[in-house]
Amino acid sequence: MKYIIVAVVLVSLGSCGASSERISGKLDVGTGVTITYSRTPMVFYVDKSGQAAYARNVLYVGPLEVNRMGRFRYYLWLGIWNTLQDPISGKSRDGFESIVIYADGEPLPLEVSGWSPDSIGASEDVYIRPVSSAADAYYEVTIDQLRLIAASSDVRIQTTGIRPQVYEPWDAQQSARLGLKAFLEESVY
Amino acid sequence: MLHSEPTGQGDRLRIFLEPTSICDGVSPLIVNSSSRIRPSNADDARLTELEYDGESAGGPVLTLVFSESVRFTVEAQEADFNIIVHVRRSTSADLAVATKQPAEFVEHRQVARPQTDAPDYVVNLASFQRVPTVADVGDIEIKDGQRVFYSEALVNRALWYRLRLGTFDDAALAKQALDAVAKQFPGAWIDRLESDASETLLVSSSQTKVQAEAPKLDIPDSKVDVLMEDARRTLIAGDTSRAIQIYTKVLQQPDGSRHVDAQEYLALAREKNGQLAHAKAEYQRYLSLYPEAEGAARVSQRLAALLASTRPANPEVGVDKQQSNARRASQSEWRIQTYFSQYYRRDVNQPDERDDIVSQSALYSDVNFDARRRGDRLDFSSRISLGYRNDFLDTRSSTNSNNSTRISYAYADLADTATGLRGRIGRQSQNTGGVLGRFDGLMLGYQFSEKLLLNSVFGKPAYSSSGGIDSERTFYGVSANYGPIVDAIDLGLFYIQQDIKGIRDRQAVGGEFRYFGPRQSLWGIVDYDLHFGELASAFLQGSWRFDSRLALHAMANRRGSPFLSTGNAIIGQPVTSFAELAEIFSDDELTELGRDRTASSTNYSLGISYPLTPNFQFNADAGRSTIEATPDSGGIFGVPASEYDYYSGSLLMSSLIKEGDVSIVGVRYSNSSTSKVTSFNIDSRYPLGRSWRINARLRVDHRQITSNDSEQWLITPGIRIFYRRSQKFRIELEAGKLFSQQESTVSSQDRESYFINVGYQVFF
Repeated sequence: MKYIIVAVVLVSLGSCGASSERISGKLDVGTGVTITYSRTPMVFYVDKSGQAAYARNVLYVGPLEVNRMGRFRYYLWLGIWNTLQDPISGKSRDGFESIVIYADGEPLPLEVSGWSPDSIGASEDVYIRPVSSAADAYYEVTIDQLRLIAASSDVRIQTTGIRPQVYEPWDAQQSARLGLKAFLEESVY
Repeated sequence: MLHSEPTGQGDRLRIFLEPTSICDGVSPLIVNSSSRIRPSNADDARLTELEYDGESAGGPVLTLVFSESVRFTVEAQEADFNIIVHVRRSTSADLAVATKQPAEFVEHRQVARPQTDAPDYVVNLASFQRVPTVADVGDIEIKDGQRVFYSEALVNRALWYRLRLGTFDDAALAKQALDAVAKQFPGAWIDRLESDASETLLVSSSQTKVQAEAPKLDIPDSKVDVLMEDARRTLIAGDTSRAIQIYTKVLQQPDGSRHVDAQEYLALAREKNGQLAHAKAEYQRYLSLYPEAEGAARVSQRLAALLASTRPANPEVGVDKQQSNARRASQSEWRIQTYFSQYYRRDVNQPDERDDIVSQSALYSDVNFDARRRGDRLDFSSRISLGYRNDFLDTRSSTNSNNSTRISYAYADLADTATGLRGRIGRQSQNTGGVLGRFDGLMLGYQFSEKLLLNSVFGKPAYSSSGGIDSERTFYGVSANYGPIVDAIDLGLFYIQQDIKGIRDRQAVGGEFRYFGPRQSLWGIVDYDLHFGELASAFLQGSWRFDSRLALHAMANRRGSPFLSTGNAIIGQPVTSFAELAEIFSDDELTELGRDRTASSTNYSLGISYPLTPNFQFNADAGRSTIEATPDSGGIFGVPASEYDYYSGSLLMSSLIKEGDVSIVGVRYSNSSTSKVTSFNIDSRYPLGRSWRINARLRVDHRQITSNDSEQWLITPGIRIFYRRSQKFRIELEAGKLFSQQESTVSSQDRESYFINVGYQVFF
């Protein structure tokens, strides 16, 4: 048998992977919904330096679009990481039943839809939690609320309850901002 | 190289490539280029075309097109980034095998096919990981007999939707079409249509946009369903007036099965049509007619957003610059938001055979003011966040209860949208650039470019919100943040210097990076102290989710406790200020004492999380903390080293009784030099209607205290009740009881205590 060899030299398709994809999508095989989300969540924190230097509570916040048979729903996912909380305690969820997002001072009250992916119709996590003991929380929002958040220069998140906490945005989150912008540009609703 | 397809045989070979980090002098942009060549002297290999597409949605792909079906093998040479393709012509026997047993040779469409007269060329316009819509088609020309549709393809285990134009009788016609759409779809490429592939029509040549966004199973089967589907397509296509007519028609139908949805979408359509007053009325009508409907919360939020967006001084909602400027022009008024809360907290100890001891009885009041004025060019905002603790106990009999005031924030902020300059003065907080949280001072920022942000900071640390301005420490620093780099990496670098009474307190350089990938994340912070010549802190945290849905989490954190600084020299010393200490010791001695009082603390943790089902999730953690010993110096005794290990596992169960509930059952074991503790915890949260939430808890701890050879049982039941009267008013009650029983060889002690927290919050 005659073999012909074709050699293709790939000279450094390098670094170079400057893909502009800031959003991802997945088909949830368990429930059949299609989920679009920003690849980079926003990071918020509460300063706890009074208890220990660099101690802080951290929130990861990411937008989600859930497409079920052409019906679109929008959610915010919160990954709640309380650095000083016992991992088996459920207390890290305290105050997150209701939250208020201040977008340039405009209060957006949100109620938790659920604490697990099934509350948005998914069978598994979309975003990766920062640590295994972090708590998930899902809040239904409107696309306009997401646009308001994206357009605001000053966003913070306040929990409710006995010990309300105000989460400030981590400084300089260009990737997350561009991700949210791309998410909104992709939105059809 | 990632992989190639098909395997073994076909008339087209696609090699999926992974960009490397070695550019070798070539422009990095080459990876995103596209080119197509016809190689010479390749007839023996039946190779007619080589095409490289760097902008393919599935990643860079190299396609080898053969004039007939051939057999091939692909060999990747990792060391020098070569790929060698061995080609041999297929025999008739090969073709027969391929036709009979395609599964052995092919994964997708490149199976050698029997010739057919049917047109089978298409132009792949674009690929998405969401369902394409007619909006994605744009205004390309669709000739008679052609259509735009999408089909599904599994690439590297990811589902892609391919938006396609076709079909064409031959490749030349497809090439003409490709050239015609190249401007709008620069990444388009020609493909052949799989005979057995399912497709969903979007636009036909008659220009009737038949958007079928939903899968084929979602076929409407009644009149109202047909109308709803028609309205949805029309709404997405942007014809809101027509959508309003159709939704109105649905609401007039005697069949009310879709009235709930129609009412919501009618409001939405009116909103999109700019009829805000009508939209508001329709949303309110929805809430009036269907207050318990699934979409009621969503509609409430839309209504709230609509009302907010129509206020005179509302911030910009859209991201369009013209709209933004137009809105800015009309937003010259002050806007003030206020938050107020009050909570009463009471802690009572109930020791054996003695009267109750109230350890806390206090009212906590917190208020937050936000004032904001957005101008044509300058945006001004200010924030004051105050707290006051009113202690009801007689301070003469209590050693730790006093009235106190806390100032968490008190700053003014001015941003110039034209130049990208921003300044903030007052009590504020920052956690990057080497700043350790709250401080009183000035921050100046400059958005140099879309990716580069420069910051400078000057001030005095405010380690406690109840303290005044620090009279001894002063710092200044500069930092730069750049990103994103290569998709999703943000970088930061900083320099900061802090002095205390003219003596160097800390002088640090450091950096930070954050990366979020599709399946992994990594975050690192490092702070190196130049003054002490050692690492002040380092933090690394990463997560990785595997195909099996198992997620692995790891974290390492090393830092001084307290944070490394010369000012730590005051710890344990019988002085009230650092200035007094500076009169006793020299600068070098103070630096050494500061180092001696700073224990190095290291934490490692490793965890996994795994979703057993959509409603059950298992988490496990293990961690170790060590605190190194500190030496005796300056008349202060050192502290011995200590270690602490823990192992925990928890099961999270959601929506067991009703949607939105969650229960967590966890077990934890910890071991330190002084005790061994085994803990069991259960925490259940249930929503009751839309306004009430109940949270019941139980924790049981068993402690073996090695220092006095005793055992202790702690049982802590508790309950939280949360009531949301409206979006602006909430009430919460929390109560718990502690039962403690401690047994040792010489004594036993039973003790009880309870606590009550109750309060409210209001926004206005």
